Amino acid sequence: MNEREYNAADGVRRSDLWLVQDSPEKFHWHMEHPDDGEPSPALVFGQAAHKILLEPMKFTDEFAIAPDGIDRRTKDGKAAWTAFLEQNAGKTIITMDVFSQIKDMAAKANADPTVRKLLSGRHEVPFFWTDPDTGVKCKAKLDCMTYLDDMPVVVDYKTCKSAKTDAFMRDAYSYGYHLQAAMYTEAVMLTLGLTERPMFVFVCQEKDAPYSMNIITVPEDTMNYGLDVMRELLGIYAACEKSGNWYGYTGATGQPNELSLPGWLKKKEDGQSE
Amino acid sequence: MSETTAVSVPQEQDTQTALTRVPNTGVADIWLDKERFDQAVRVASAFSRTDIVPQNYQNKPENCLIALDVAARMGMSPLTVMQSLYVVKGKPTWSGQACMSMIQGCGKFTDVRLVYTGNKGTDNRGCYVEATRISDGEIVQGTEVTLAMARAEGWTSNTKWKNMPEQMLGYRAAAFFARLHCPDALMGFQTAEEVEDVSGNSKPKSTAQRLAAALKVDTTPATVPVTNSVADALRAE
Repeated sequence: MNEREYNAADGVRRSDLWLVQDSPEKFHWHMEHPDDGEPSPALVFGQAAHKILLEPMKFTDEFAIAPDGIDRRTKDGKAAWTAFLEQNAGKTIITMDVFSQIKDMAAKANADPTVRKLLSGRHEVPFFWTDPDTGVKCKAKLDCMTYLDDMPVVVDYKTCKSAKTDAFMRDAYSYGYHLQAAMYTEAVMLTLGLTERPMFVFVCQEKDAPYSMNIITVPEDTMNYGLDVMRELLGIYAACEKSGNWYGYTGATGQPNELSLPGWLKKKEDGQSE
Repeated sequence: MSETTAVSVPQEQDTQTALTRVPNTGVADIWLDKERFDQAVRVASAFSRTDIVPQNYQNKPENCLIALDVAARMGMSPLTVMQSLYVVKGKPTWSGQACMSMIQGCGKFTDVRLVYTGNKGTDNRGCYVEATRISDGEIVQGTEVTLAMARAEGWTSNTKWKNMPEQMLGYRAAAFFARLHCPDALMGFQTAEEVEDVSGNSKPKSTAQRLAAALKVDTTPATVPVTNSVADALRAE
């Protein structure tokens, strides 16, 4: 199953659900406008880094490297660039700099015996399942599914600014990585009929040299929190779909909100009044 | 002997019958009745000042007060309770020895004995407690504990299982019997061996530790050769 087939298949992804958390309205808009806007450079970087590490043989099917030395201000340069684009229609274009960066990152990752072991399983494995509580169809594509001593492990590769544990942790909750851990392990459990939740592990790598790496597991309390969030968001999604009301920040019934004091300011205020 | 009255242990009771239960005479009231409570506190304080009570209780009247309450509820001598009840890994526990005495003293069984099975020193060595139930004369048996079981459950990480397996089998067998046939005799407390065996091993491993184990990543710190050479040098001198 290639990228296009997977994208076209029925089911909500964890990135979709994370938009529901922002607001159902935003989620719905993105569903209605799937091809709107160019993917951000950061997104392209992440996709290219994944491809070269996890599916290096397929890299050139999906990515093309812009040749150096084409001056697009000149007539010849313009023609050369057009010819290059025509040759690589449908591929994502990355610069030589990005290519050498992701190549070095992959080399570093492959040289690490622990990382190599973690990434030794099947790569880019698609899962499709129906949530038993809400009947919502879900899908997920796992970077890597492996077994260590018969223990099923779901491995996710993340490129990041800082792979240091506490820095990654801060990013994790704002990007919904806890939801990802919950949803992906749920996919494996339901599809393979496991009674115990597989372990979820992040292999994190910094985008800048020396491309430092970290291995971060998802402990039980984080997983449980992720499962709570997943349940809630699937519930909201199912309710919105049923009612057709894809509400925004004022909620399903259009209620105003309050500009309350943030915790740290409230503390300051309480301190002064004493 | 005002202190024994406070915890309602009969004044005539001697140490021989200390472990034999006497009817509970409403001692739980020490928590509710001010006069009784004050009296119990005085008794506890007196106990805590002697050096005959185990160290856990010396100069700790609060600990003594708890022991008095347990003693009163179980109809045992306070000193016996103090000698048998101690804190292991933060939990009040009975000594394995006390567990056997409690089965004998709970009044439900006679002829309580340890029965060893299998061959000494091998995995099939086992032990169970057998007793005659007074109410119907039936011979009842507790669950058999074997060394294979101890190994499988991870208890053997407690070094006592290596050093005195026979004793540990006996203590465990007593705890198993009590849990099955007279759970009330232990007042819900575990035995020291149960707590030591379990806490030594089954503390849930973090996901990171489990992953490290599965990856076979060596997390033990490297030995420091410097200390060895210093030690060698000191020995040579």
